[in-house]
Amino acid sequence: MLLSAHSLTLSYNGHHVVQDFNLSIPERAIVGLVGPNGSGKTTILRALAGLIEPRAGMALIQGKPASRLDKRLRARKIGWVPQQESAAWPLTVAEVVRLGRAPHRGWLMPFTAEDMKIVECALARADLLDLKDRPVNKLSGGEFQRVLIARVLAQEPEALLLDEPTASLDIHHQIQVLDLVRGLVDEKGLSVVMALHDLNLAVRYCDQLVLLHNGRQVSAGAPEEVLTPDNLRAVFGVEARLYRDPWGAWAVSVQ
Amino acid sequence: MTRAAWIFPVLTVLLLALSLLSLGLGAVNIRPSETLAALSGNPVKPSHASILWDFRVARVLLVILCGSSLASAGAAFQGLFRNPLADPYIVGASGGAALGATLAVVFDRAVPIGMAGFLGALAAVMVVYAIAEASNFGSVVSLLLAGAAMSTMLSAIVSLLLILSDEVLHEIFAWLMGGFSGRSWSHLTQAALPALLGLAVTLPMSRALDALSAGESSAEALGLDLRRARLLVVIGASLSTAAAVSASGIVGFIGLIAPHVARRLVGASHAAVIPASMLVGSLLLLVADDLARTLAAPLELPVGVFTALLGGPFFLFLLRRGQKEL
Repeated sequence: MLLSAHSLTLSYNGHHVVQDFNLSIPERAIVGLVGPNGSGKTTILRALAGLIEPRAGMALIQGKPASRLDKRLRARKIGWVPQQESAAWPLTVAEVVRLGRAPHRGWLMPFTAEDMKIVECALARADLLDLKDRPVNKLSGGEFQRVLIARVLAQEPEALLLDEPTASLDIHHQIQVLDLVRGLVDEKGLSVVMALHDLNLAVRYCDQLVLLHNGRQVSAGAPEEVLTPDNLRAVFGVEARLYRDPWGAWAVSVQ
Repeated sequence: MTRAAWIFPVLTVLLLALSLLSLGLGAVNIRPSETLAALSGNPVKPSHASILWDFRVARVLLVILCGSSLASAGAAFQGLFRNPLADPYIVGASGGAALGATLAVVFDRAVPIGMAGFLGALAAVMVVYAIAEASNFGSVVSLLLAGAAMSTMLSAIVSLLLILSDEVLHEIFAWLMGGFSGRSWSHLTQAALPALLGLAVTLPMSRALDALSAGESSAEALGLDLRRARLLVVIGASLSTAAAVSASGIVGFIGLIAPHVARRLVGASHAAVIPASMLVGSLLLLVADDLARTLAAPLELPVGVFTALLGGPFFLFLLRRGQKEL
């Protein structure tokens, strides 16, 4: 088990944002965190990435507390993609993606030809080859999001933590990014945890869902078991149910 | 990257040419051809050779050392604070170094001036950093206010020290104005060690500074040890600042302007920005020093006056542009 959370309680300014959260993430699977705004999805991802210290309980990476692990070692195991990121300086797309190799090469050694090949491959997979010399502050929100995806691909981690990876993407790139993630899971056996807003994308791409409400876990399991009419009503306040779409996949219909 | 490949030789040639010109300027003008002859060991007029070797070579080298140190410190502070308005003067490093160096002079140099300047700069920046971090770190306003408050306080303490110890007042006052008048080989040798050490600490932080561009959480998720990286950058930039301030007093704005010019020329990656800033900073300070000693010759004006006249408007321009972007 690469990633797990045990009775995790997380707080911000003395206020509990997440309480008593338990999760174990299997290999070769995508676990989706769903829930309304402020339900604690982002905070859970930050804790699993080791970026915040739990108030109580544990977030573990291979059995060790995530926030205590050596940072470079952790960055080789776990890739974290924030929902939004600012760029203080106009680094180029290629320069930003290259930073994904820092956990492997360190902060001093020059990047090798192998690093460059991996970076090139990551740029290609995120459809960014044409933009690689463009300063990142000259990109649209969706293009920038793909840069973050490419950087985490170059990082070659064993698990991915994605915070709303499709938030600012058009439908073409939403599908492209999630297909890419699905492909990595199936090919390389990655574990993925992602927070998703769009329930249709969540049921379509995730093997398991965790439904959160006010920092507490309401339900967890296969998408069709979690997104029941009762749960959707209780958490989101809508009358909705899952149905099979014309291609035979699950989709959410709201009354 | 291809652009950076020819920018560096161009800047280097410019710096050599300007240095040659600067060596000839002063109360006695010496033609570049004669300067070149003297530098390459050929016989020239003995009085000219003496002027060159005893004074001007050391002065020009010191100007380059101070310009490049302030510029690399500026690039490092901007990267660390993720803020284009940071520079050694604005974050309080120059003021801290001035106080440290003044204390050293007042107490009969019980501690070497460069060392005292370093400790002063380090302490001032750490305090500014802590205040800026505690009050919504990264916001332009908190950095500027903390830096301004710190600088005002430090200069008040320096003034107080000057008044209380009147016999050395004149010497320190002239030094604080910022300038290279009467500087010689001894100043150069004293400043060389902290300048080289500062650079040796700052330059290897280039990739870490690039990662910090994405924000502290992202840098940490890329495996950066934030606390260590911050500390090293502050130490390196403080050493560079102390080297410059203990040699030339407070010369503002070189550290602010040089990184901006450098980024326009070579892109934003710190591995290119820091060396390019050093070249640009040396060029700027050489021009300012040439103006300072020729405009009102034989009187020498403090070089800090020129960098402030040049830098003040530039700072306001950046501030205005930054507000538009917000």
